[in-house]
Amino acid sequence: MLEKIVSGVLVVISLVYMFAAKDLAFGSFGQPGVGFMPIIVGYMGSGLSIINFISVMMKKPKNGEESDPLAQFDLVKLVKFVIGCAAYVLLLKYTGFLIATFLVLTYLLKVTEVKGWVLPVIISAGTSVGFYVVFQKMLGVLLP
Amino acid sequence: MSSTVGSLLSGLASCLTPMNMFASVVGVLIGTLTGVLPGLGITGALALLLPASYGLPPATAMIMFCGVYYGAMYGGSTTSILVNIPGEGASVVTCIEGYEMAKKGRAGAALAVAAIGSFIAGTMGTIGLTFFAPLLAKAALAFGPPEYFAIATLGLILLFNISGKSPLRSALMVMIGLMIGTIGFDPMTGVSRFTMGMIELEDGIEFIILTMGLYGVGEILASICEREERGEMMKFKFRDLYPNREELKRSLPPMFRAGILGFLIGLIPGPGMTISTFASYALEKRLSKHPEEWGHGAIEGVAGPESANNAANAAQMVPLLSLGLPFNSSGALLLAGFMIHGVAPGPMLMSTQPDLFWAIIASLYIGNVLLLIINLPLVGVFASLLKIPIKILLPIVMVVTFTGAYAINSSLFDLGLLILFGAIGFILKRAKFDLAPLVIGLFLGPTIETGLIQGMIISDGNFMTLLARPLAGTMLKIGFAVILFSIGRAIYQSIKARQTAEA
Repeated sequence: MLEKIVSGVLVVISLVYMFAAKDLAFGSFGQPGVGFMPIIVGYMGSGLSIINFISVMMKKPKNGEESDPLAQFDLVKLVKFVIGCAAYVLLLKYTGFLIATFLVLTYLLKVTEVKGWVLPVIISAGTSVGFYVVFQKMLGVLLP
Repeated sequence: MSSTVGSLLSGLASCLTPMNMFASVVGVLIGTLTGVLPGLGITGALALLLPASYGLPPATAMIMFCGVYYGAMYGGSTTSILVNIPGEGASVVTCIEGYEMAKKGRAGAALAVAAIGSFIAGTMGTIGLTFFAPLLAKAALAFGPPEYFAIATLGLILLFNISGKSPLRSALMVMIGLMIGTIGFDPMTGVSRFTMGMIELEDGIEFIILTMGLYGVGEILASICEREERGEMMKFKFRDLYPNREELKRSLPPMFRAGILGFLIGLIPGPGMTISTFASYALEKRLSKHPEEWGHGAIEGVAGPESANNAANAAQMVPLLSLGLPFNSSGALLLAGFMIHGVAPGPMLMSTQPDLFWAIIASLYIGNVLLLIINLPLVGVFASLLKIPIKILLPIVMVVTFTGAYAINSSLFDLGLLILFGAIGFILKRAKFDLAPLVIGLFLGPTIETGLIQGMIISDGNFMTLLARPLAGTMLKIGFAVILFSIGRAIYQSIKARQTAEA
């Protein structure tokens, strides 16, 4: 199922790209314009994605083939982790590196089921201060 | 010949300064560490080292990156042998015999043979690189944009025919990579394309961010959310670390054979390191005088593949250093690291910055020696790192990746892209789409576009003129032949499958 969805999404992306590319000037073969390469790539990508989509739709599942490639993953944990990462970007903007790293790392460690609060808090505090000292103070990297 | 040796010696001299040696040691250690730990790999290593390298002179930074490149390749064997989990594709084969050896109490010997084989074949590969790369770089001085277009195109065609299970999907991934590569300013005219009005996209999508996202973040997400627990780690004692006389005698010929085989396979664009391990395994199995041991811990099955991937690793540096064209994702990443420091590998590097060119090559020799010196005694330490709980390690790695990505452009927008590409990488891999063609397509996109457009202008729009150029024409004709062959093969396989189903 995932294969079919991804193949379908790739068709949509390729077609959208192709139509957007057609708005750029193709020029001529002797004087290629800004859209020369994108239009060629757009047509080729669309063609390949459609052929791939048709072949995936026509494919019959083999015996013993894994039906759901996502079954081996805890998707709730995945979503929580991605949300944590997205929140990190926002927090970096508003609170700066030290606070954002401490808060988000504590959250991520809880998402990955590290028991208790003492260990996650110690790891987060140590990591954020350690990284701040190494990157900002010692290496001169400008952190947010 | 003598000038090559002289240049290499001067490169060695510039590498042997305390600072450069320290950089090499750090690179090799971090490379090995990231090869050992799950979810890191070369992207994690570069994320860690990019910020650290900004204040360094370019040569020192390049030497450190080369250490990482070599170290990460060796580190993968530790998890294969001790935990039966391959760090990357090039370590898959090592699991077969290496883990069986570990179960029989010979883990130490397997690890030592992997280290010795990596050193011997890695050095053989680097010798090949030393003599082959300058020749190619000199020849490449005469190449024009059409030749670069032809080489990059042929490389991509070979790549999607060799890598992954489906050439069609690999070709599609290359196209997606090329599409992403056209976002931002047009390299010829400076006109903005596909930016959707976002200023952040005008310089295009940073290659390293995309690679860190697809490989680094994508793999971290997969490792964190996997329901299966990591396998049990095999224990070994320090005194068991050295192979006995019989094991060493049986390992040496496969190492030398794999050195040659790996180098030759590594020259072909695509996942040469992985292919070379399978080829070496098959070769050694056929030549073995102990066929009954295969599948139960044959030492040749560790010595051959682990040597082959290191020789292939060196061979893949040939087009990277002499043409500036990488044909595997780790090479592309290494090149991106070079470019961040203003170093552009290619034919001009050898003539304009010969000191740097030869220092990079010399650092590979030093990296090989360091790998042997450091890894044999420290293998127990590296193995003990596998005991760190993954649920503690990976969130910290994620923060390191974010910090490294931010340091490239000081851009929070890049961090958003990092998450987006991480999720895309996770999904594409689960849907059986190979990521390497996408990454290489993005990296080679500007070279292909510039070469194609300049070639069309030079030939006044006549594609046949391009085909008439000796090198470009030959490359493109080979490319067409490969495409026709793969289409014919696909049709034949489909007909055969239908006939089998009907029967």
